[in-house]
Amino acid sequence: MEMDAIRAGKVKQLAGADLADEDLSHADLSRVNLAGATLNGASLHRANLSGAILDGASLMGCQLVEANLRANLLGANLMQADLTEADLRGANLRGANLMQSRLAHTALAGAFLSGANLMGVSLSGVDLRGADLRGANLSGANLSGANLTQADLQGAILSEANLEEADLRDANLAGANLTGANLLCADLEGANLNGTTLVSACLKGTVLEKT
Amino acid sequence: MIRSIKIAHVVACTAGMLEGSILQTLKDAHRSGQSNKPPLNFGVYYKNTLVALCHALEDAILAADYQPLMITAFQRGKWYLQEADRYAEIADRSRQVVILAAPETGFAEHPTSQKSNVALVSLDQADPVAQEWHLIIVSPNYMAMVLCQELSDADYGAAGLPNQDLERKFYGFWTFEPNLVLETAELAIAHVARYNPDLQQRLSQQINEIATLSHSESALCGLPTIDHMGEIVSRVIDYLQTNQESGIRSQGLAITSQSFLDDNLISNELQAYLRVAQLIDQTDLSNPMAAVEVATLAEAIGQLLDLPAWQLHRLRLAGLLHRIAFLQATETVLSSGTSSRYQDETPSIPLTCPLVPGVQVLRRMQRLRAAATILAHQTEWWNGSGQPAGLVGDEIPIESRILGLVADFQTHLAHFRSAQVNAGAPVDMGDLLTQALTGCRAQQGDRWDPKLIETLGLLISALQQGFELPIALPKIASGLWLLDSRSEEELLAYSPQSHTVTKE
Repeated sequence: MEMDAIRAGKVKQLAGADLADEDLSHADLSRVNLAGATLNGASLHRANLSGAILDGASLMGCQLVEANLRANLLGANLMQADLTEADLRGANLRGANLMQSRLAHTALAGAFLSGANLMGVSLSGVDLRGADLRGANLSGANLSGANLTQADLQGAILSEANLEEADLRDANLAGANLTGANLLCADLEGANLNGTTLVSACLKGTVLEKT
Repeated sequence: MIRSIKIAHVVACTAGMLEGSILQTLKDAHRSGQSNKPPLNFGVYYKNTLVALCHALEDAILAADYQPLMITAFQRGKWYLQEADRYAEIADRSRQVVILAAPETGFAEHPTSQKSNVALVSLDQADPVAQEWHLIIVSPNYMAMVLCQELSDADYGAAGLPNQDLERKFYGFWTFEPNLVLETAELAIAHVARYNPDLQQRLSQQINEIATLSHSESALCGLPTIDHMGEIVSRVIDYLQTNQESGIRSQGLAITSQSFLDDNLISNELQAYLRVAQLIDQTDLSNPMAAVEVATLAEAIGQLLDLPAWQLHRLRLAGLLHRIAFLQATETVLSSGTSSRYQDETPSIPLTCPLVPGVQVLRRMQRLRAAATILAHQTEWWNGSGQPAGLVGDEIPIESRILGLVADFQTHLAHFRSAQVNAGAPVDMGDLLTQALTGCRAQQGDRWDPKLIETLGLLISALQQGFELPIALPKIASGLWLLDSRSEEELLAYSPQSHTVTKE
């Protein structure tokens, strides 16, 4: 009974709730307060979480395929979560942990990912236009073909990252660490490269020009 | 802006491109600030892709009477020998074929090499061009090229060297842009001088003749049509797909390697269409930014309507490709003197849903199914009197309604803009936007969805109050971010018997 009400979005206060392994697929959880809740292993397939508060929530291994996650996820734990084709545009993911999460075709344009842990994740061909990635840890991440135009990568860690064919036009890479990164055919036209570390980075076919 | 890039210990491939290579020379000529030529944009190509792509572009020579000058750089004689039998046929349909390669056994002896219009240039091992893969086809009616150089062993980095020949990696670009192909052909011919000054003389004369003919108004290299460019791009798609289907799975490739190769093939299918769209824009001097402006405006309208991300992506993609739907037959183009301009006249009222030839070309790529449907119905009218299906109101897919309106708006805008420029008046963007919007408003309720006119009005007000909409040309080699699992969706269900259209 309680779960039915939750699925229908009738319960707005779920801060700290334990919803681990629950089936919440297609649920309407828009603007629900789930701060600090436990959703480990839950299914939120195609759920609507727009405007929800998930600050500090634990979403480890959560199934979030095609979910609307235009939500507050400050410091949330999304380790091993499946975010395939989820909509995270403009979401607040500051300091979130996204290690080993699946991010194929996840929409992250304008998302706030500063200080997020994205070590080793695959963001190949992902829309990250205008995303705030300041100080994010993207070491070893696969960003090949990703759209990072106007993204803010100030101070981000991109060592050993794969940025092959990535679109970094007008991105801010000031102080970013790209040691050993692969920038083959990446486009950095108009990018800010003040104090950017490019030690042993591959720069073949890379556009490195001012506008 | 660049004050302190730390490149302290240049270990591996930071050295950049090969000095003296044709790709490097061309890139330098296009460096921003050096000239008014647009900077080049490179992509990554596996040999697997290059073989299919080059075969498709070469075989176009067999399909029509182009009689081109073709220059191919093969790296090594043995790669040429693999193609030499095919090249005999191509040489018979060409004015001149030039092969550049480091010589190997049998290189000069092959019967194709003996043909009077086939010239061999034996590259020095130390010549950087011996590390390059080029195919340059120049003729007044067909221009195309593939321009690449291979990665050095060090460039493969942590990923390690490829196991299979077809996994070898190159970087560069390919294109149909006539001026760029001509410019590169001249560079390649200049490179021949150090080996064979007589040949260089002869080729220079040929290229001058071709250049002159290609600038004539009836030259098809500057007039993309459904029966030439449409055929050429269809062949490219077919060959890339055949390569993917037959693949090289039997050769025991790791699954990850196979998926890299497949992604590269798919990326190039999309590139083929984006490059045709680029050519359509470049050859329409009155409106050379249509694709990117329409795509940007369409996506902005979609955002105002709060459409989901996948719908915005397909809208942007359809916007970039929208003019391909208007490709016409060569006969029509040459008799009317117009190419694929946006059709503005009131359409007749059809009772069936005829196929749109340009859209059929797009349908060859499965992943473009949604975009193709959007483009097929961009010419519907809100009141049901449009083509091709006579859909009414909300029956018309929302993306098609947005795209049709935005493309019409952009056409008005380009028209007023060039009128102001031609009159020598200073361009008043705010005024132009109002004029273009007024043009669309006149057909509100008949042709256009009134709700969308309202949304467009909001966007225009925002732009007039300083809201900025960045117009960035697409990075053609990196288009895969626009495709997702929904790209293959059929937006409408077609009934093949009656050709009528019903909603899903």
